Amino acid sequence: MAESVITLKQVDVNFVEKKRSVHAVDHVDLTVNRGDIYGIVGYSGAGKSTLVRTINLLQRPTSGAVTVLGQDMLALTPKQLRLERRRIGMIFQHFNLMNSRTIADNIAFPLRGRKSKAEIAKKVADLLDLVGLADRAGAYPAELSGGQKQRVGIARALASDPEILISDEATSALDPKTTSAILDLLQSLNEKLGLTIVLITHEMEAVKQICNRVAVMDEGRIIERGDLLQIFAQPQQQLTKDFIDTTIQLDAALKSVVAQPAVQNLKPTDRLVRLTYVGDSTDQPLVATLYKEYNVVANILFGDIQILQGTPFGNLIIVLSGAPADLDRTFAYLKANDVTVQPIDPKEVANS
Amino acid sequence: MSWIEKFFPNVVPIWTGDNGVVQAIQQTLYMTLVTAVCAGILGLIIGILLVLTDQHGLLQNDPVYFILDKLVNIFRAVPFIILLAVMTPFTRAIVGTGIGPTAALVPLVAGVTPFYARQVQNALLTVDPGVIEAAESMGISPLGITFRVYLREGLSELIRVSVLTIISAIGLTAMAGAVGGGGLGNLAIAVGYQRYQNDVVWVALIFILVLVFLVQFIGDLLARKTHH
Repeated sequence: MAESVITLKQVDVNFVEKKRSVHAVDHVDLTVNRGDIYGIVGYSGAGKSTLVRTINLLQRPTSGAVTVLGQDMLALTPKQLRLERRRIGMIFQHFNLMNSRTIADNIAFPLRGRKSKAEIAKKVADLLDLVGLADRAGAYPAELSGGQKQRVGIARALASDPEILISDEATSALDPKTTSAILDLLQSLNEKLGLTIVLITHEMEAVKQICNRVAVMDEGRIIERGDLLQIFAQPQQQLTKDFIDTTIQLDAALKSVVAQPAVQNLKPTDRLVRLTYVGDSTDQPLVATLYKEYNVVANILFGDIQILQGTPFGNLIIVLSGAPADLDRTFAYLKANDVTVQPIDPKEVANS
Repeated sequence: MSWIEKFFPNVVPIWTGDNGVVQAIQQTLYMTLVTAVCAGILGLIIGILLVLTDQHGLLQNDPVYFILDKLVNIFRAVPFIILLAVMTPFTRAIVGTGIGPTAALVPLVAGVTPFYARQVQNALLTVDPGVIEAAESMGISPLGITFRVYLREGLSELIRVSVLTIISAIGLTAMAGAVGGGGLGNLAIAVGYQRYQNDVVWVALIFILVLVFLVQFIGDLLARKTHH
Protein backbone atom coordinates (compact mmCIF):
# COMPACT_ATOMS: atom_id res chain seq x y z
CA MET A 1 0.00 0.00 0.00
CA ALA A 2 1.51 3.27 -1.10
CA GLU A 3 1.93 5.97 1.52
CA SER A 4 -0.12 9.03 0.76
CA VAL A 5 1.80 12.28 1.30
CA ILE A 6 -0.85 14.74 0.18
CA THR A 7 -4.54 14.29 0.86
CA LEU A 8 -7.08 16.90 -0.09
CA LYS A 9 -10.64 16.21 1.04
CA GLN A 10 -13.57 18.14 -0.39
CA VAL A 11 -11.36 21.19 -0.86
CA ASP A 12 -13.35 24.19 -1.99
CA VAL A 13 -12.08 27.66 -2.87
CA ASN A 14 -14.52 30.48 -3.42
CA PHE A 15 -13.29 33.95 -4.28
CA VAL A 16 -15.81 36.62 -3.39
CA GLU A 17 -15.07 40.05 -4.76
CA LYS A 18 -17.70 42.75 -4.82
CA LYS A 19 -20.81 40.66 -5.35
CA ARG A 20 -19.06 38.52 -7.94
CA SER A 21 -18.10 35.10 -6.68
CA VAL A 22 -15.72 32.76 -8.47
CA HIS A 23 -15.77 29.09 -7.62
CA ALA A 24 -12.12 28.38 -8.43
CA VAL A 25 -11.94 24.95 -6.83
CA ASP A 26 -15.09 22.90 -6.47
CA HIS A 27 -15.01 20.23 -3.76
CA VAL A 28 -11.92 18.41 -4.96
CA ASP A 29 -10.56 15.19 -3.49
CA LEU A 30 -6.95 14.41 -4.32
CA THR A 31 -4.47 11.86 -3.04
CA VAL A 32 -0.82 11.91 -4.00
CA ASN A 33 1.40 9.03 -2.95
CA ARG A 34 5.07 9.13 -2.00
CA GLY A 35 7.24 8.94 -5.10
CA ASP A 36 4.47 9.97 -7.48
CA ILE A 37 4.94 12.44 -10.25
CA TYR A 38 1.35 13.55 -10.30
CA GLY A 39 0.29 15.62 -13.29
CA ILE A 40 -2.67 17.97 -13.06
CA VAL A 41 -3.62 19.14 -16.50
CA GLY A 42 -6.21 21.67 -17.60
CA TYR A 43 -6.66 24.86 -19.55
CA SER A 44 -5.80 28.15 -17.88
CA GLY A 45 -8.57 29.18 -15.53
CA ALA A 46 -9.43 25.58 -14.70
CA GLY A 47 -8.33 26.12 -11.09
CA LYS A 48 -5.11 24.08 -11.14
CA SER A 49 -2.91 26.79 -9.65
CA THR A 50 -5.44 27.57 -6.95
CA LEU A 51 -5.80 23.88 -6.15
CA VAL A 52 -2.07 23.23 -5.66
CA ARG A 53 -1.74 26.40 -3.58
CA THR A 54 -4.06 24.84 -1.04
CA ILE A 55 -1.39 22.19 -0.46
CA ASN A 56 1.03 24.66 1.18
CA LEU A 57 -1.78 27.04 2.12
CA LEU A 58 -0.59 29.88 -0.07
CA GLN A 59 -4.31 29.70 -0.72
CA ARG A 60 -6.52 28.86 2.22
CA PRO A 61 -9.46 26.71 1.18
CA THR A 62 -12.94 28.04 1.88
CA SER A 63 -13.76 24.59 3.20
CA GLY A 64 -12.29 21.11 3.19
CA ALA A 65 -9.33 19.32 4.74
CA VAL A 66 -5.66 19.45 3.74
CA THR A 67 -3.27 16.82 5.06
CA VAL A 68 0.36 16.94 4.00
CA LEU A 69 2.97 14.49 5.27
CA GLY A 70 0.58 13.41 7.98
CA GLN A 71 0.01 16.98 9.15
CA ASP A 72 -3.39 18.65 9.24
CA MET A 73 -2.26 21.90 7.62
CA LEU A 74 -5.30 23.93 8.62
CA ALA A 75 -4.67 23.27 12.32
CA LEU A 76 -1.20 24.83 12.32
CA THR A 77 -0.21 28.17 13.86
CA PRO A 78 1.50 30.60 11.45
CA LYS A 79 4.90 29.64 12.84
CA GLN A 80 4.24 25.91 12.57
CA LEU A 81 2.94 26.45 9.05
CA ARG A 82 6.21 28.17 8.07
CA LEU A 83 8.18 25.19 9.36
CA GLU A 84 5.90 22.80 7.49
CA ARG A 85 6.29 24.79 4.26
CA ARG A 86 10.00 24.02 4.26
CA ARG A 87 9.07 20.41 3.56
CA ILE A 88 7.16 21.50 0.43
CA GLY A 89 9.27 23.10 -2.28
CA MET A 90 7.68 25.10 -5.06
CA ILE A 91 8.78 26.24 -8.51
CA PHE A 92 7.00 28.74 -10.71
CA GLN A 93 6.27 29.58 -14.33
CA HIS A 94 8.14 32.88 -14.13
CA PHE A 95 10.87 31.48 -11.87
CA ASN A 96 10.38 34.25 -9.26
CA LEU A 97 14.07 34.71 -8.57
CA MET A 98 15.40 37.76 -6.79
CA ASN A 99 17.09 39.99 -9.34
CA SER A 100 19.16 41.79 -6.72
CA ARG A 101 20.89 38.59 -5.60
CA THR A 102 23.38 36.31 -7.31
CA ILE A 103 22.48 32.75 -8.22
CA ALA A 104 24.27 31.43 -5.16
CA ASP A 105 22.52 33.97 -2.91
CA ASN A 106 19.15 33.08 -4.39
CA ILE A 107 19.69 29.44 -3.56
CA ALA A 108 21.07 30.28 -0.11
CA PHE A 109 18.09 32.58 0.58
CA PRO A 110 15.84 30.04 2.36
CA LEU A 111 18.77 28.80 4.47
CA ARG A 112 20.10 32.08 5.87
CA GLY A 113 19.73 32.18 9.62
CA ARG A 114 18.89 28.50 9.79
CA LYS A 115 22.33 27.04 9.17
CA SER A 116 25.96 28.08 9.58
CA LYS A 117 27.74 29.94 6.78
CA ALA A 118 29.93 26.93 5.99
CA GLU A 119 26.97 24.55 5.85
CA ILE A 120 25.11 26.92 3.55
CA ALA A 121 28.11 27.30 1.24
CA LYS A 122 28.44 23.53 0.98
CA LYS A 123 24.72 23.04 0.37
CA VAL A 124 24.63 25.73 -2.32
CA ALA A 125 27.62 24.19 -4.09
CA ASP A 126 25.98 20.75 -4.00
CA LEU A 127 22.70 22.11 -5.35
CA LEU A 128 24.42 24.06 -8.13
CA ASP A 129 26.13 20.82 -9.10
CA LEU A 130 22.88 18.92 -9.00
CA VAL A 131 21.15 21.29 -11.44
CA GLY A 132 24.24 21.71 -13.62
CA LEU A 133 25.02 25.37 -12.93
CA ALA A 134 28.22 25.09 -10.89
CA ASP A 135 29.96 27.67 -13.07
CA ARG A 136 27.27 30.36 -12.74
CA ALA A 137 27.26 30.83 -8.95
CA GLY A 138 28.26 34.49 -9.10
CA ALA A 139 25.97 35.49 -11.98
CA TYR A 140 22.76 37.46 -11.57
CA PRO A 141 19.41 36.09 -12.79
CA ALA A 142 19.27 38.69 -15.58
CA GLU A 143 22.34 37.04 -17.13
CA LEU A 144 20.72 33.59 -17.39
CA SER A 145 18.49 31.96 -19.99
CA GLY A 146 14.99 30.82 -19.08
CA GLY A 147 16.04 27.22 -18.65
CA GLN A 148 18.95 28.21 -16.41
CA LYS A 149 16.65 30.40 -14.32
CA GLN A 150 14.31 27.48 -13.76
CA ARG A 151 17.28 25.34 -12.71
CA VAL A 152 18.08 27.98 -10.10
CA GLY A 153 14.42 27.92 -9.06
CA ILE A 154 14.64 24.16 -8.63
CA ALA A 155 17.88 24.37 -6.65
CA ARG A 156 16.34 27.01 -4.38
CA ALA A 157 13.22 24.90 -3.86
CA LEU A 158 15.41 21.96 -2.88
CA ALA A 159 17.55 23.93 -0.44
CA SER A 160 15.53 22.94 2.62
CA ASP A 161 15.46 19.27 1.56
CA PRO A 162 11.72 19.09 0.90
CA GLU A 163 9.89 15.81 0.44
CA ILE A 164 7.38 17.32 -1.95
CA LEU A 165 7.93 19.62 -4.92
CA ILE A 166 5.06 21.60 -6.41
CA SER A 167 5.67 22.69 -9.98
CA ASP A 168 3.32 25.47 -11.07
CA GLU A 169 3.54 25.58 -14.89
CA ALA A 170 7.31 25.48 -14.43
CA THR A 171 8.00 24.70 -18.07
CA SER A 172 5.28 26.79 -19.69
CA ALA A 173 7.55 29.76 -20.38
CA LEU A 174 10.28 27.60 -21.92
CA ASP A 175 10.91 26.34 -25.45
CA PRO A 176 10.25 22.64 -26.17
CA LYS A 177 13.88 21.56 -25.96
CA THR A 178 14.48 23.33 -22.64
CA THR A 179 11.14 22.06 -21.35
CA SER A 180 12.24 18.53 -22.04
CA ALA A 181 15.57 19.06 -20.28
CA ILE A 182 13.87 20.53 -17.19
CA LEU A 183 11.40 17.63 -17.11
CA ASP A 184 14.30 15.19 -17.32
CA LEU A 185 15.87 16.95 -14.36
CA LEU A 186 12.64 16.69 -12.36
CA GLN A 187 12.39 13.02 -13.18
CA SER A 188 15.96 12.37 -12.08
CA LEU A 189 15.27 14.21 -8.79
CA ASN A 190 12.22 12.03 -8.32
CA GLU A 191 14.36 8.94 -8.77
CA LYS A 192 17.50 10.11 -6.92
CA LEU A 193 15.91 11.86 -3.96
CA GLY A 194 12.57 10.07 -3.81
CA LEU A 195 10.98 13.48 -4.29
CA THR A 196 7.21 13.47 -4.73
CA ILE A 197 6.26 15.93 -7.48
CA VAL A 198 2.95 17.60 -8.20
CA LEU A 199 3.17 19.06 -11.66
CA ILE A 200 0.51 21.36 -13.00
CA THR A 201 0.56 22.21 -16.64
CA HIS A 202 -1.56 22.85 -19.69
CA GLU A 203 0.84 20.79 -21.80
CA MET A 204 -0.11 17.12 -22.02
CA GLU A 205 3.32 16.62 -23.57
CA ALA A 206 4.93 17.36 -20.19
CA VAL A 207 2.57 14.98 -18.39
CA LYS A 208 3.29 12.30 -20.96
CA GLN A 209 7.03 12.64 -20.53
CA ILE A 210 7.35 12.17 -16.77
CA CYS A 211 4.10 11.67 -14.87
CA ASN A 212 2.91 8.32 -13.57
CA ARG A 213 -0.48 9.61 -12.55
CA VAL A 214 -2.63 12.31 -14.01
CA ALA A 215 -5.77 14.28 -13.19
CA VAL A 216 -7.67 16.42 -15.68
CA MET A 217 -9.21 19.60 -14.33
CA ASP A 218 -12.02 21.70 -15.73
CA GLU A 219 -14.00 24.49 -14.08
CA GLY A 220 -12.59 23.77 -10.65
CA ARG A 221 -13.27 20.04 -10.72
CA ILE A 222 -11.19 17.00 -11.41
CA ILE A 223 -13.17 15.41 -14.21
CA GLU A 224 -10.94 12.41 -14.74
CA ARG A 225 -7.95 10.82 -13.05
CA GLY A 226 -5.88 7.68 -13.10
CA ASP A 227 -2.59 6.09 -14.09
CA LEU A 228 -0.99 7.70 -17.09
CA LEU A 229 -1.39 4.62 -19.31
CA GLN A 230 -4.95 4.06 -18.27
CA ILE A 231 -5.85 7.66 -19.08
CA PHE A 232 -4.10 7.54 -22.44
CA ALA A 233 -5.61 4.15 -23.32
CA GLN A 234 -9.16 4.79 -22.20
CA PRO A 235 -9.94 8.45 -21.82
CA GLN A 236 -13.54 8.91 -20.80
CA GLN A 237 -14.06 12.65 -21.08
CA GLN A 238 -13.92 14.68 -24.28
CA LEU A 239 -11.51 17.17 -22.67
CA THR A 240 -9.11 14.36 -21.78
CA LYS A 241 -9.27 13.10 -25.35
CA ASP A 242 -8.56 16.60 -26.63
CA PHE A 243 -5.51 16.88 -24.38
CA ILE A 244 -4.22 13.51 -25.52
CA ASP A 245 -4.71 14.48 -29.15
CA THR A 246 -2.49 17.53 -28.62
CA THR A 247 0.43 15.18 -28.00
CA ILE A 248 0.04 13.49 -31.37
CA GLN A 249 -1.03 16.54 -33.36
CA LEU A 250 -3.97 14.54 -34.58
CA ASP A 251 -6.01 17.50 -35.72
CA ALA A 252 -3.38 18.66 -38.17
CA ALA A 253 -2.76 15.08 -39.29
CA LEU A 254 -6.45 14.41 -39.90
CA LYS A 255 -6.81 17.46 -42.11
CA SER A 256 -3.96 16.43 -44.36
CA VAL A 257 -5.09 12.81 -44.32
CA VAL A 258 -8.57 13.52 -45.62
CA ALA A 259 -7.08 15.57 -48.44
CA GLN A 260 -5.18 12.54 -49.73
CA PRO A 261 -6.45 10.71 -52.87
CA ALA A 262 -6.79 7.48 -50.88
CA VAL A 263 -9.49 9.13 -48.83
CA GLN A 264 -11.00 11.23 -51.60
CA ASN A 265 -11.60 8.08 -53.69
CA LEU A 266 -12.87 5.92 -50.86
CA LYS A 267 -14.99 2.98 -52.01
CA PRO A 268 -18.41 2.62 -50.34
CA THR A 269 -17.27 -0.48 -48.50
CA ASP A 270 -13.99 1.04 -47.31
CA ARG A 271 -13.81 2.21 -43.72
CA LEU A 272 -11.71 5.15 -42.59
CA VAL A 273 -10.95 4.60 -38.90
CA ARG A 274 -8.65 5.66 -36.12
CA LEU A 275 -7.10 2.89 -34.05
CA THR A 276 -5.76 3.57 -30.56
CA TYR A 277 -3.91 0.94 -28.60
CA VAL A 278 -1.65 0.63 -25.60
CA GLY A 279 0.95 -1.90 -24.58
CA ASP A 280 0.32 -5.59 -25.16
CA SER A 281 -1.98 -5.19 -28.12
CA THR A 282 0.92 -3.78 -30.09
CA ASP A 283 3.04 -6.86 -29.55
CA GLN A 284 1.08 -8.58 -32.23
CA PRO A 285 1.68 -7.64 -35.82
CA LEU A 286 -1.69 -6.03 -36.17
CA VAL A 287 -1.79 -5.11 -39.82
CA ALA A 288 -0.39 -8.46 -40.93
CA THR A 289 -2.98 -10.31 -38.86
CA LEU A 290 -5.82 -8.37 -40.41
CA TYR A 291 -4.70 -9.38 -43.86
CA LYS A 292 -3.80 -13.00 -43.11
CA GLU A 293 -6.69 -13.93 -40.85
CA TYR A 294 -9.50 -11.68 -42.03
CA ASN A 295 -8.59 -10.87 -45.59
CA VAL A 296 -8.80 -7.16 -44.83
CA VAL A 297 -6.29 -4.74 -46.35
CA ALA A 298 -5.14 -1.94 -44.09
CA ASN A 299 -3.75 1.18 -45.69
CA ILE A 300 -1.94 3.23 -43.07
CA LEU A 301 -2.37 6.96 -43.71
CA PHE A 302 -0.99 8.27 -40.46
CA GLY A 303 0.79 6.64 -37.60
CA ASP A 304 2.14 7.77 -34.27
CA ILE A 305 3.65 5.48 -31.68
CA GLN A 306 4.99 6.89 -28.45
CA ILE A 307 6.54 5.19 -25.47
CA LEU A 308 4.81 6.03 -22.19
CA GLN A 309 6.64 4.71 -19.15
CA GLY A 310 8.18 2.01 -21.30
CA THR A 311 4.89 1.00 -22.88
CA PRO A 312 3.99 1.75 -26.48
CA PHE A 313 0.97 3.94 -27.12
CA GLY A 314 -0.13 3.93 -30.74
CA ASN A 315 -2.47 5.94 -32.90
CA LEU A 316 -3.13 4.93 -36.48
CA ILE A 317 -5.42 6.37 -39.09
CA ILE A 318 -6.09 3.66 -41.63
CA VAL A 319 -8.40 2.68 -44.44
CA LEU A 320 -9.71 -0.87 -44.05
CA SER A 321 -10.84 -2.53 -47.28
CA GLY A 322 -12.59 -5.88 -47.48
CA ALA A 323 -15.91 -7.67 -47.62
CA PRO A 324 -18.48 -6.34 -45.13
CA ALA A 325 -18.57 -9.61 -43.20
CA ASP A 326 -14.78 -9.67 -42.95
CA LEU A 327 -14.77 -6.09 -41.74
CA ASP A 328 -17.26 -6.92 -38.99
CA ARG A 329 -15.10 -9.80 -37.83
CA THR A 330 -12.08 -7.50 -37.93
CA PHE A 331 -13.71 -4.97 -35.65
CA ALA A 332 -14.67 -7.71 -33.22
CA TYR A 333 -11.07 -8.94 -33.24
CA LEU A 334 -9.72 -5.47 -32.60
CA LYS A 335 -12.12 -4.89 -29.77
CA ALA A 336 -11.18 -8.18 -28.17
CA ASN A 337 -7.54 -7.04 -28.27
CA ASP A 338 -8.23 -3.71 -26.54
CA VAL A 339 -7.74 -1.65 -29.66
CA THR A 340 -10.14 1.28 -29.73
CA VAL A 341 -11.71 1.84 -33.12
CA GLN A 342 -13.22 5.19 -34.01
CA PRO A 343 -14.81 5.73 -37.40
CA ILE A 344 -13.82 8.97 -39.11
CA ASP A 345 -16.12 10.91 -41.40
CA PRO A 346 -13.92 12.70 -43.96
CA LYS A 347 -16.58 15.32 -44.72
CA GLU A 348 -16.86 16.26 -41.07
CA VAL A 349 -13.10 16.65 -40.74
CA ALA A 350 -12.86 18.74 -43.91
CA ASN A 351 -15.60 21.06 -42.69
CA SER A 352 -14.37 21.46 -39.13
CA MET B 1 37.44 89.57 -7.23
CA SER B 2 36.01 92.72 -8.73
CA TRP B 3 33.60 90.86 -11.00
CA ILE B 4 31.87 89.45 -7.95
CA GLU B 5 31.39 92.93 -6.59
CA LYS B 6 30.24 94.06 -9.99
CA PHE B 7 27.63 91.37 -10.58
CA PHE B 8 26.61 90.65 -6.97
CA PRO B 9 26.84 94.07 -5.24
CA ASN B 10 24.20 93.24 -2.63
CA VAL B 11 25.48 89.74 -1.86
CA VAL B 12 28.96 90.65 -0.70
CA PRO B 13 27.95 92.67 2.41
CA ILE B 14 25.52 89.99 3.62
CA TRP B 15 27.73 86.99 2.90
CA THR B 16 28.42 86.26 6.55
CA GLY B 17 26.70 87.20 9.79
CA ASP B 18 23.11 86.98 10.97
CA ASN B 19 20.62 86.34 8.16
CA GLY B 20 23.58 86.16 5.79
CA VAL B 21 24.06 83.82 2.84
CA VAL B 22 26.26 81.35 4.69
CA GLN B 23 23.76 81.12 7.51
CA ALA B 24 20.92 80.64 5.04
CA ILE B 25 22.81 77.75 3.44
CA GLN B 26 23.37 76.19 6.85
CA GLN B 27 19.71 76.59 7.75
CA THR B 28 18.55 74.98 4.51
CA LEU B 29 20.99 72.10 4.97
CA TYR B 30 19.90 71.65 8.58
CA MET B 31 16.19 71.63 7.76
CA THR B 32 16.66 69.33 4.76
CA LEU B 33 18.86 66.87 6.62
CA VAL B 34 16.74 66.57 9.76
CA THR B 35 13.55 66.36 7.69
CA ALA B 36 15.09 63.69 5.46
CA VAL B 37 16.10 61.57 8.44
CA CYS B 38 12.87 61.96 10.47
CA ALA B 39 10.41 61.83 7.59
CA GLY B 40 12.56 59.12 6.03
CA ILE B 41 12.21 56.79 8.99
CA LEU B 42 8.53 57.59 9.62
CA GLY B 43 7.59 57.45 5.94
CA LEU B 44 9.41 54.16 5.48
CA ILE B 45 7.55 52.60 8.39
CA ILE B 46 4.16 53.88 7.24
CA GLY B 47 4.88 52.92 3.63
CA ILE B 48 5.81 49.37 4.68
CA LEU B 49 2.70 49.15 6.87
CA LEU B 50 0.55 50.28 3.95
CA VAL B 51 1.96 47.49 1.78
CA LEU B 52 1.68 44.80 4.45
CA THR B 53 -1.85 45.65 5.60
CA ASP B 54 -3.24 46.22 2.11
CA GLN B 55 -5.68 43.75 0.62
CA HIS B 56 -3.69 40.64 -0.40
CA GLY B 57 -0.82 41.99 1.74
CA LEU B 58 1.16 39.68 3.99
CA LEU B 59 -0.60 41.02 7.11
CA GLN B 60 -3.87 42.17 5.62
CA ASN B 61 -5.63 44.39 8.14
CA ASP B 62 -8.44 46.47 6.70
CA PRO B 63 -8.94 48.94 9.63
CA VAL B 64 -5.22 49.73 9.92
CA TYR B 65 -4.89 50.18 6.18
CA PHE B 66 -7.99 52.36 6.05
CA ILE B 67 -6.76 54.70 8.80
CA LEU B 68 -3.20 55.00 7.46
CA ASP B 69 -4.42 55.50 3.91
CA LYS B 70 -6.83 58.27 4.91
CA LEU B 71 -4.28 60.02 7.16
CA VAL B 72 -1.76 60.06 4.33
CA ASN B 73 -4.34 61.47 1.96
CA ILE B 74 -5.48 64.18 4.36
CA PHE B 75 -1.97 65.39 5.16
CA ARG B 76 -1.02 65.36 1.52
CA ALA B 77 -4.08 67.43 0.66
CA VAL B 78 -3.11 70.34 2.96
CA PRO B 79 -1.02 73.02 1.20
CA PHE B 80 2.30 73.27 3.01
CA ILE B 81 2.09 76.99 3.72
CA ILE B 82 -1.20 76.36 5.56
CA LEU B 83 0.24 73.34 7.35
CA LEU B 84 2.98 75.62 8.68
CA ALA B 85 0.38 77.90 10.18
CA VAL B 86 -2.10 75.40 11.59
CA MET B 87 0.60 73.31 13.20
CA THR B 88 2.06 76.16 15.26
CA PRO B 89 0.47 75.15 18.61
CA PHE B 90 1.48 71.56 18.07
CA THR B 91 4.99 72.65 17.09
CA ARG B 92 5.33 74.71 20.26
CA ALA B 93 4.29 71.70 22.33
CA ILE B 94 6.89 69.49 20.70
CA VAL B 95 10.00 71.65 20.23
CA GLY B 96 9.16 74.45 22.66
CA THR B 97 9.13 77.26 20.11
CA GLY B 98 6.95 78.44 17.26
CA ILE B 99 9.61 80.20 15.22
CA GLY B 100 13.02 79.47 13.76
CA PRO B 101 14.47 76.60 11.71
CA THR B 102 13.77 74.04 14.43
CA ALA B 103 10.12 75.12 14.61
CA ALA B 104 9.91 74.69 10.83
CA LEU B 105 11.04 71.08 11.22
CA VAL B 106 7.77 69.86 12.72
CA PRO B 107 5.53 70.93 9.80
CA LEU B 108 8.28 69.90 7.37
CA VAL B 109 8.31 66.37 8.77
CA ALA B 110 4.50 66.35 8.89
CA GLY B 111 4.34 67.46 5.26
CA VAL B 112 7.06 65.21 3.86
CA THR B 113 6.25 61.99 5.77
CA PRO B 114 2.92 61.21 4.05
CA PHE B 115 4.40 62.08 0.68
CA TYR B 116 7.33 59.76 1.27
CA ALA B 117 5.10 57.04 2.74
CA ARG B 118 3.06 56.96 -0.48
CA GLN B 119 6.25 56.90 -2.56
CA VAL B 120 7.62 54.01 -0.48
CA GLN B 121 4.34 52.15 -0.86
CA ASN B 122 4.45 52.52 -4.64
CA ALA B 123 8.13 51.59 -4.74
CA LEU B 124 7.55 48.39 -2.78
CA LEU B 125 4.55 47.49 -4.90
CA THR B 126 6.89 47.27 -7.90
CA VAL B 127 8.46 44.20 -6.30
CA ASP B 128 7.22 41.16 -8.24
CA PRO B 129 4.38 39.54 -6.23
CA GLY B 130 5.66 36.20 -7.53
CA VAL B 131 8.92 36.70 -5.66
CA ILE B 132 6.97 37.48 -2.48
CA GLU B 133 4.93 34.33 -3.00
CA ALA B 134 8.08 32.29 -3.55
CA ALA B 135 9.49 33.56 -0.24
CA GLU B 136 6.22 32.70 1.48
CA SER B 137 6.35 29.20 0.02
CA MET B 138 9.81 28.81 1.59
CA GLY B 139 8.41 29.54 5.03
CA ILE B 140 9.94 33.01 5.45
CA SER B 141 8.16 35.17 8.05
CA PRO B 142 6.44 38.46 7.11
CA LEU B 143 9.22 40.37 8.90
CA GLY B 144 11.85 38.39 6.99
CA ILE B 145 10.06 39.04 3.70
CA THR B 146 9.86 42.77 4.50
CA PHE B 147 13.58 43.15 5.09
CA ARG B 148 15.02 40.46 2.85
CA VAL B 149 12.69 40.73 -0.12
CA TYR B 150 10.69 43.98 -0.20
CA LEU B 151 13.45 46.34 0.92
CA ARG B 152 16.14 44.45 -0.96
CA GLU B 153 14.36 43.92 -4.27
CA GLY B 154 12.77 47.38 -4.11
CA LEU B 155 16.02 49.12 -3.18
CA SER B 156 16.80 50.88 -6.45
CA GLU B 157 13.19 52.08 -6.66
CA LEU B 158 13.40 53.21 -3.01
CA ILE B 159 16.53 55.21 -3.77
CA ARG B 160 14.77 56.83 -6.70
CA VAL B 161 11.75 57.94 -4.63
CA SER B 162 14.01 59.04 -1.77
CA VAL B 163 15.87 61.41 -4.10
CA LEU B 164 12.54 62.69 -5.36
CA THR B 165 11.36 63.25 -1.79
CA ILE B 166 14.54 65.02 -0.63
CA ILE B 167 14.35 67.36 -3.61
CA SER B 168 10.73 68.10 -2.83
CA ALA B 169 11.70 68.68 0.84
CA ILE B 170 14.32 71.21 -0.28
CA GLY B 171 11.50 72.96 -2.10
CA LEU B 172 9.37 73.01 1.04
CA THR B 173 12.20 74.50 3.19
CA ALA B 174 11.98 77.56 0.97
CA MET B 175 8.61 78.27 2.61
CA ALA B 176 10.01 77.91 6.12
CA GLY B 177 10.68 81.64 6.12
CA ALA B 178 7.02 82.10 6.91
CA VAL B 179 7.70 80.92 10.45
CA GLY B 180 11.12 82.50 10.70
CA GLY B 181 12.86 79.36 9.64
CA GLY B 182 15.32 81.22 7.47
CA GLY B 183 17.11 79.35 4.74
CA LEU B 184 17.84 80.10 1.09
CA GLY B 185 14.19 80.48 0.14
CA ASN B 186 13.71 83.08 2.81
CA LEU B 187 16.88 84.84 1.67
CA ALA B 188 15.58 85.02 -1.88
CA ILE B 189 12.15 86.38 -0.91
CA ALA B 190 12.71 88.46 2.26
CA VAL B 191 16.01 89.97 1.18
CA GLY B 192 16.31 89.63 -2.58
CA TYR B 193 12.77 90.02 -3.84
CA GLN B 194 11.36 92.47 -1.34
CA ARG B 195 14.37 94.81 -1.50
CA TYR B 196 14.63 94.57 -5.29
CA GLN B 197 18.07 92.93 -4.95
CA ASN B 198 17.91 90.51 -7.85
CA ASP B 199 21.51 89.37 -7.42
CA VAL B 200 20.58 87.96 -4.00
CA VAL B 201 17.71 86.01 -5.58
CA TRP B 202 20.08 84.56 -8.15
CA VAL B 203 22.67 83.53 -5.57
CA ALA B 204 20.00 81.81 -3.46
CA LEU B 205 18.73 80.04 -6.57
CA ILE B 206 22.21 78.89 -7.59
CA PHE B 207 22.89 77.35 -4.19
CA ILE B 208 19.53 75.57 -4.16
CA LEU B 209 20.19 74.20 -7.64
CA VAL B 210 23.65 73.02 -6.61
CA LEU B 211 22.10 71.24 -3.64
CA VAL B 212 19.42 69.60 -5.80
CA PHE B 213 21.91 68.44 -8.43
CA LEU B 214 24.18 67.05 -5.73
CA VAL B 215 21.33 64.99 -4.25
CA GLN B 216 20.32 63.80 -7.72
CA PHE B 217 23.90 62.86 -8.59
CA ILE B 218 24.46 60.85 -5.41
CA GLY B 219 21.08 59.16 -5.84
CA ASP B 220 21.81 58.14 -9.42
CA LEU B 221 25.17 56.79 -8.35
CA LEU B 222 23.61 54.65 -5.61
CA ALA B 223 20.77 53.49 -7.86
CA ARG B 224 23.25 52.32 -10.48
CA LYS B 225 25.21 50.40 -7.87
CA THR B 226 22.14 48.48 -6.69
CA HIS B 227 20.78 47.65 -10.14
CA HIS B 228 21.56 44.27 -11.67
